[in-house]
Formats: sequence, structure tokens, C-alpha cells
Amino acid sequence: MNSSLELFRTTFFACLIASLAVACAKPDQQPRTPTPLHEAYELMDRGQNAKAILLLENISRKAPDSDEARVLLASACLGEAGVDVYAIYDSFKEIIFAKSLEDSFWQPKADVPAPEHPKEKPVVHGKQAQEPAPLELLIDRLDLNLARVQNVTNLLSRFPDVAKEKWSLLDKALENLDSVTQSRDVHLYKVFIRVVYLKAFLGQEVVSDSDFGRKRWACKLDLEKLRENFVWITQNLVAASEDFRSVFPSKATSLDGMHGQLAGVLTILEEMKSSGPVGSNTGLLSAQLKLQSTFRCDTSSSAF
Amino acid sequence: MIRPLPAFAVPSDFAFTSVPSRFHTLELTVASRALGEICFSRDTMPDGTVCNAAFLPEQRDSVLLGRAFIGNGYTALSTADQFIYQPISKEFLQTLFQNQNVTSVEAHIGLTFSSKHFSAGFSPYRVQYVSEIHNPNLPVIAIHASVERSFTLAGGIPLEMLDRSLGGFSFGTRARLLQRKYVHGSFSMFQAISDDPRALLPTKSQTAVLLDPTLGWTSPKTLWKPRASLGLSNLGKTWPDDALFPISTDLTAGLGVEPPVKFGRFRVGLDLVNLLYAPDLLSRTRLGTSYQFGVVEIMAGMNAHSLSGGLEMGLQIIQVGIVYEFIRDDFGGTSPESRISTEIAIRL
Repeated sequence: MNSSLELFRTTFFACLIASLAVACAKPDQQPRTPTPLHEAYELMDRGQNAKAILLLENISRKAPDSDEARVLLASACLGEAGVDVYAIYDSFKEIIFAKSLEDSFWQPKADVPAPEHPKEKPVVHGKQAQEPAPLELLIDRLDLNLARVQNVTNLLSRFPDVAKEKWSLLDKALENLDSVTQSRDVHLYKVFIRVVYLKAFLGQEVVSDSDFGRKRWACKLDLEKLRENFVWITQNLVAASEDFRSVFPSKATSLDGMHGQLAGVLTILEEMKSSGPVGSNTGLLSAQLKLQSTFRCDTSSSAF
Repeated sequence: MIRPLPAFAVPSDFAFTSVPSRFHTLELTVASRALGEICFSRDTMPDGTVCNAAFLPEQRDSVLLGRAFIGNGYTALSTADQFIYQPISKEFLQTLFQNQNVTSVEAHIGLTFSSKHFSAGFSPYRVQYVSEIHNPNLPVIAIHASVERSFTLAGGIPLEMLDRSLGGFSFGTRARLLQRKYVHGSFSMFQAISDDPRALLPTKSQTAVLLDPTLGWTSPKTLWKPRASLGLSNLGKTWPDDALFPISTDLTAGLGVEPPVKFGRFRVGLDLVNLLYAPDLLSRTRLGTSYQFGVVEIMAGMNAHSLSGGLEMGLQIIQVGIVYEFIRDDFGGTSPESRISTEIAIRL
């Protein structure tokens, strides 16, 4: 009995010593070390987006399949472009999930995309034309849409303005997001970036002129530039609508109406361009001259 | 490492992916936290209760204690409750992104009875909440919230009752019945507007019945009054199993001494926990020390995740305590934080 108890005591203390030895045993796995992606997170948390971009570009080159690196790179680009997601998040939701049509880009009837070749005969200067000329159609459509473009630009004024020299960051962000697995929030993030981009583009490329919509503006209007601008805008709107529909297939978005109206103007401009020799802008230049003649741009007068 | 389902655009292990260590604290009390969460090397805790069941036979007085513990960040208490008990809306999820980079809160109320050979405890409410937000350019939030209820019974006997030559040895067992509800996951700000909130953070439940048998030894007549214990922890079953709360049966050990001092009482304890499953020495080690003089006891402790100091004071039936965790390092993606927690107890 005494030997059993002595064995018990010995075993107890032996196990105690063994537990000390086990505690000091070599670890089975190496401790977790910070990865370059962790460093990128830390940089962005501190607002050092430029450094984060360099680091993430390097990571993406070495690991081209890393979706995380590309999404982070896109977000770092957005941060470097000066877009504060927190500040404009509520505005973004309002724009996309417009509660009333009054808050949307266009009025209710404009939600239906305009047909490419309108069947009704436009009224020009009080006279009923038999077959409205393309120029008359263009003037009519521009007249209709320029005010709306101005309204949209005002509506988007709550979003930050991204300087033109930083637009390449937005392009880079979109390019990286296009190359990753398209999850729901990647789609929405792209819509978000495109709305910000649209605002910057409208404000700095389309309505930047203080004479916008007036005769002076019309007299110096470059139709080729206008066509390119509208092409860019419609491409952006189509892409944004597609992304939105990927997340909410059964919901309409206020972006659709805007695209529809601009598509009408763009069609006319494309027809004018194609009326000249292939590969040249003669058609548009000719229309431009007629436009200037219509507005009597050679005489000084009040606004159109 | 536990990888959550990629709720966010891409899976990321930057924010915490496993449950932060604070959620595994056995006893959420000021004394436990201030002492580095030691238990097996300690006879009585500063509040008069006994953590290691094998040392229950040393308890001289009976103690009935009702306590409330709360950490800073208590404004997030309602957030934690909302996650567990209320329907959550997209608007609620979006407000979370307005919080600070790291938000956390812990709170606990409980009732404990402790006497020679026997103790019981009931905790109807223990809540812990942690959220971590990263990347302001595409904010992603990781959240863990849990609410627990538990009931504990413990008993201990000196082995001297079986044989006099086993004087100094004792055996004790603690049985715990635990029920928790929790949410754990991460999502981006854009997911908060596109996905069903409950699909992002489904509420889960878990029940556990666990035993912690321990064998203890003390030598009270020796100069430094050494004590030691060996035991098993988490012997039992949980259902359903969840990798977030990997309750694995493991080995524990404790070594404590009480160096003689002229005035007061000075105790040092070293716990070695999770001997089989912890990855390294630091993860297995907990060190705690306290100095008691009069009604005040000052404590200091350290473990793999925190360095802490605290004070507990008892006057008549009221006991108050405060603990300051200098470095609490539970998160994968942020710097260590400092936390203050307080406790008030009524002792009967």
C-alpha cells in the first residue's frame, strides 16, 4: 500500500515536470507572420494609398490570380483619387435605389429609352417640317437633353470631384475589378465607381463651359468631341446598368432612362459622321458649319 | 486557422478569422483578467471564490457573491443584443460602418456560491462583442458577438480522507453546462445593401456539457507554501460542433507559491494550459501575481494575449474591482488595444 501511494506521489510530480517539458516543446506550426497583403491593409487604414498601390501592383504581378490583391488595388486607387466612400455612401444609395422618380435622373416618361428613329415629325421654329433634317433633329434633341444633363450634373454634385489627372486611377480600379471573380459587391463597387466617374466627366468635360447651353457655347461646339463624350457616357452607363442588373435582375435603375435619351442623340451624331467619307469627320464638320450658320454665329447677339 | 465562408468579395484573413481569445476566458471577472487568467495555480481568487475545484477543501468561509462585470465600450452592448436577439436590417448593418476601426465590449453578471468542498455558479448573461473594420476605400467589417448562459457545479475532497499518507493531495471536479448564441462573419459595405442581413450573419446556437477534473497538491507548512495541480479541461461534449469554438479535451497544470512577506500576502502562480493543442510556449503560459494587504489586493498578470494589472477591494458586503489590460492582442489586423473593465459584487 505504501509503495502504491509512493508511486502515486512520484507519478504526480513526474507528470508535473513532464507538463513543463511539453509546454516548452517546439511549436508544431510556425507563428503567423504578416503578409504583404496585411501590410497593404495597414497602409490603407492609415490613408497611405499611394504606397498601398505600389505594394499591391507588385503583389498582383507576382500573384496574378489573387483576387484579393486586385480588389484591394482597385480600392486603393479609389482612395488615392480622393473618393471617400463613407461620405457619399448614402448619396450613392439614393441615386441607385431612387425612391421616387422625381429623384431620378430623368422624368418618368424618359425612363422609356427613346427610339433610335423617332416616328413623330419634330416641330422646328413653329413650322411643321415634312421630313426633319438630321441637323434639326440634333438641335431638337440637344435642346431637350442639355438641360437634363445639367440637372444630372447638379444631382451628382454631392459626389466628390475627381481631378482629370486622377481619372487614370478610376480606369485602373475598374480594370482590376473587371479581372476578378464578379461577386455581388464587386458589381456594386463598379457601379459606385462609374457614378463617381460620370460625375467627374460631366462636370469637367461636358458642362464645364460657363456658356453651356447658350448660343456662344453652340457656336464653338465641336460635334466630334461631343460625339466622343456621349459615346463615353453611354458606354459607362451601359456597363453600370449591366453591373446593377447582375445584382438586382428584377429592378430597374434610374441609369437606364439616362442612357436611353443619350442614345437618341448619339444615333444622330453617328449618322452625321457616317454621311461623310469613311474614316473622316467631314460629315460632322459639315453639320457643325450648318449649326453655326443656323445660330448665326458670325453675328454678335444675345444667348440662344 | 479557421477560414470563414467568404462573405466579402474575396476571402481575407486580415481581420480576425477565429474567435478572439477573450471569448474563451473561463471566468469573466476582474480578478481572472488581472491575474492573467490563471486558475489552476491559485487557491482562492481575490473575490473569495475558488477557481480550481481541487483546492475547494481549503476554503474556510462560505461565500455567496453576486457580481456584474463590464468592460469599456459598453455602448456596443445594444449592438451585440441586436445581433443575437433582434431582426437585423440593412440600415442597422450600414450603421456599423460608422463605428471605430475596432469596437468591443464584454459584460457578465453572475451569482456564485463557494464553500468548503462545494461551489456552484450561475451566469444568466455573458455577452461579448467585437467588430473590426478595415480599408476605408472598400470597408469590410468582421463581427463576432455571443451571448452565453452557464451553470457550474464543482466539488473537491482532500485525498487524506482516503488515506492519511495522501495528506496534501486533493481531487476536485467542475461541471459546466453552457449555452451560447453567436454570430460570426464579415461583409463589405456594399454587401450590406445588396444581401439579406440574416444571410450575412446567421445566428447559431451551441450547447456544451464539460467536466474539468483536477488533482491538486499543497504543502502549507513549507516556507513558500508551494502548490501544484494537474488536470484535464473540457472533458465532455458540445453540440453542434463548430470550428469557431473548438472545445478539445486538453491537459492543464499549475504551479503556485506564496513567498513569505512581513505584511500582507504575496502569491505567484504559473498556469500551463492547452498543453496538447496550443501552438507554442507563450500560448500555453499564464502568469499571475497578487499582493493582498487588508481589504485591498493588487494583481498583475500576463498571458499570450494580454498584459494586465488590477485592483480589488472589499468593504463589508461590497466588493469592487478594476482591471487595466495594457496590451490586449486578440486581433489579426489591428494593433493591440488597451482596455479597462470594472466589476462590482455584493458579498453575502
